[in-house]
Amino acid sequence: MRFERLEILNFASYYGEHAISLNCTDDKPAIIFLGGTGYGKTSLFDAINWALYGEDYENELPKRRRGRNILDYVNEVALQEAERDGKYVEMSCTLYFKHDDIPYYITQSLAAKPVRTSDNTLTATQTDRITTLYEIDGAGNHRKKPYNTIFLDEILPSNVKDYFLFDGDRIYNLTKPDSSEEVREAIYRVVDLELLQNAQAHLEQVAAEYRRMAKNEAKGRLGDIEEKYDAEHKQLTQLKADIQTSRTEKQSIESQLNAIEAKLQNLPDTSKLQGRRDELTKELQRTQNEINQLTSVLREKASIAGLSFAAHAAQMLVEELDTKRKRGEIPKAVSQTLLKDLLKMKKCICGTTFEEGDPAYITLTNRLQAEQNKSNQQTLLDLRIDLGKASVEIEQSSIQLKESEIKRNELLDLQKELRKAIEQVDAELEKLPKEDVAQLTREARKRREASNSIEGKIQRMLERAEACERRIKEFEKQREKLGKQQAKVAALQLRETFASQAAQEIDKIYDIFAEQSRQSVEALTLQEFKHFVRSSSAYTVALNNNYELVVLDSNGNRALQRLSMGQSQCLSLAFITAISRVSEKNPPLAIDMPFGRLDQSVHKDVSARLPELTNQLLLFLIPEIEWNDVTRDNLKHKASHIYWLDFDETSRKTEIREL
Amino acid sequence: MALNLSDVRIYVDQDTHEIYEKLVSLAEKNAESHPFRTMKDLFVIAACIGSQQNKYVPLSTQKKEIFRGIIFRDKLDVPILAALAYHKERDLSVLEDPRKIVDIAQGWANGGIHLLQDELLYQPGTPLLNWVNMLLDRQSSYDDQ
Repeated sequence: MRFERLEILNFASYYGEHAISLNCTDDKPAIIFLGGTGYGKTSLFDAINWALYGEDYENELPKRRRGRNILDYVNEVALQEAERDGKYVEMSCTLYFKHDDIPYYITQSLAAKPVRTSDNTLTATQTDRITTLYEIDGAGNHRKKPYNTIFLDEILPSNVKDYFLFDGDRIYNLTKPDSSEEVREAIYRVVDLELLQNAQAHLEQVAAEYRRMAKNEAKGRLGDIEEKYDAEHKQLTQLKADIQTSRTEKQSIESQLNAIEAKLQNLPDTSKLQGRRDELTKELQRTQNEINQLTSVLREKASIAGLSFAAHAAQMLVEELDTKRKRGEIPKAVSQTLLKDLLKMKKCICGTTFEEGDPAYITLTNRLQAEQNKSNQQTLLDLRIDLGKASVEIEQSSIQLKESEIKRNELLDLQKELRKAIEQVDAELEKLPKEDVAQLTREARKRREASNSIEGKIQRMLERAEACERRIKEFEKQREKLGKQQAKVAALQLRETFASQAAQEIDKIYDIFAEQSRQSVEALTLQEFKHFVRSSSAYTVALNNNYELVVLDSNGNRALQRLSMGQSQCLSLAFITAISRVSEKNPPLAIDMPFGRLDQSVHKDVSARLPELTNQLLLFLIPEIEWNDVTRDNLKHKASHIYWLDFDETSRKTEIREL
Repeated sequence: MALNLSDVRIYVDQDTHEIYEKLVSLAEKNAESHPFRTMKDLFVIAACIGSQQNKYVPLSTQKKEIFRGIIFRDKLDVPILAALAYHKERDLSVLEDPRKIVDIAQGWANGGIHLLQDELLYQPGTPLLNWVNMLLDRQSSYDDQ
């Protein structure tokens, strides 16, 4: 998608008609709008959004623009004239763009009537509202197309627009410690994970419907099984939803906890204690991981060591086999091997050499044949050997079990000590005279407890879900067996199975795709962050499994809070450009005041990099502050158009001038 | 040629299946509450305990397949099951019939599983630690002797 032209009529401070070319070339992808505060930069940004998303954007306006609604955008001069002349005023925005090389244009237009309120304020009341979408075909004909979400979803869905058309202030939010939900949402929407999830949900619904039909159709014992099968599925669905809810809740609590801990870390009175707490917590986590590993080892070794309960039986069998061997009823282990060796060397045990066909050769071959025929005895011989080896393995496992248990107990003791030490640090933090510190520490403690409690709940639900899945598998076998006698039910079962399997496959694809996307976004975010901020070389950026943007210093400590506001904004910018690249949607990138919060030191790198990231870049900049020597040098030769916005205080109109 | 139990199906009593479910989980995270990774691991241990306690309980008619013999480890589980079969029959010819070896193991396991249930699930502490302690206690009592 690429914007071509914007036409506006009586929109915000733009009185009358204005047409702005947004054409650009690959080597000059930037279009720059320069204007002071209140000169109409953000209005142009809003005009593009309104043109594309119409009512959706109107609904978002009050939240985005401090309570403003679309009628507040009707140009005040035009409204006064309409009142004076007793006419209606028309406001419209038309955006021309190309998508897959086909030209389109969307117009949002409304007619408004001027109305005086009781306090003599002049306001606009909407009387008409039109949205049109046209495609211009090869012959130049304008064909009207239905304007709907299907079309928009294809070019740039409304729910992802914020990651392509965004204001510089807002993106700072993405790096706040409790923004993991917003980050997850961004990836989820932009890389189309939502589509996969919808497909999976749909197939599950289809499967559920077939289950319901099979349940109604089935008779006798099969009817009972179908009913139970359906009930188990319902329970499993409910459990999965509850687990997801609890995980989200836990994630939110942990984000809050991280934010509180970050605050505590930054307070001069607490940084030392909080640093100590972090070290202890890390040590505790390491210990826990080791304990988990040892627990798995214990389970594995116990399953072998436990075979020692058969020691008495094994001993009896060994004694019996040894007795038989002594009696010569079982061949000696060497016999077959020895005979084979002698035949190979063509040399008898007494030293006599022989050739094939000689009597000694024939005697030895017959003897070997006879030994090989004693397969049962050979089996017993093998069994004797295996029992010996098994006994050694069981003994070794018993020793390892004991060692692992000792190590585990030591770690458990260490864990107790660490917990105690953390409690002491918490107590010291809570004792600090400053009320805000104590309060924050108490809040952190509450959240830790809540997080633990939810984790316990999740584990219990996971176990119940596991049991549910086992029962479902069991019912599957039974319904398949009984279904063979009821053809109609069997057909429904088959369909249900196909739908369920398809849903499961999509679920697997979803997991793989989500993980790949997460990793790609992480890699590109880090890459861009380092491009944007040279001083960031000491930091590593990670997007963890909870979709939290984590910044770590060279010691592996969390360092997000140590980033300057400018660095944080660069991180957000890096993240947004990363997801736009991973999405492969390649729409224009429009940023309102991208350098507003950035330190001058990073202006150079960011302004040099931005035009490289997209085919079309619209920047709305404040002269001098954002459009300075540094950014000008980098962006001027990359810009197809540079527009100057002139606002006349007296006439209260903005004029657009191309530089 | 070693004993081959690959083609044999292994059953437990329907009534005891629930105990198997409670004690087995593939997932590492559930190790403390589910001390066995596979049904096979639990089955063999239950058979060993049944034999050690001399508690042989043939399967009822209500039985349930839990896995197939191919999962047995040739050099560890199979010789142990052979020993359990010999312990029951005191006759080496029993080892010629894989089905018979497994049938006997099923009887021992059917006797041993309840003891495991008592020791692992009905005692204070997590099932895995109860199981480990049971083994270590036994080990130290042998060491004392």
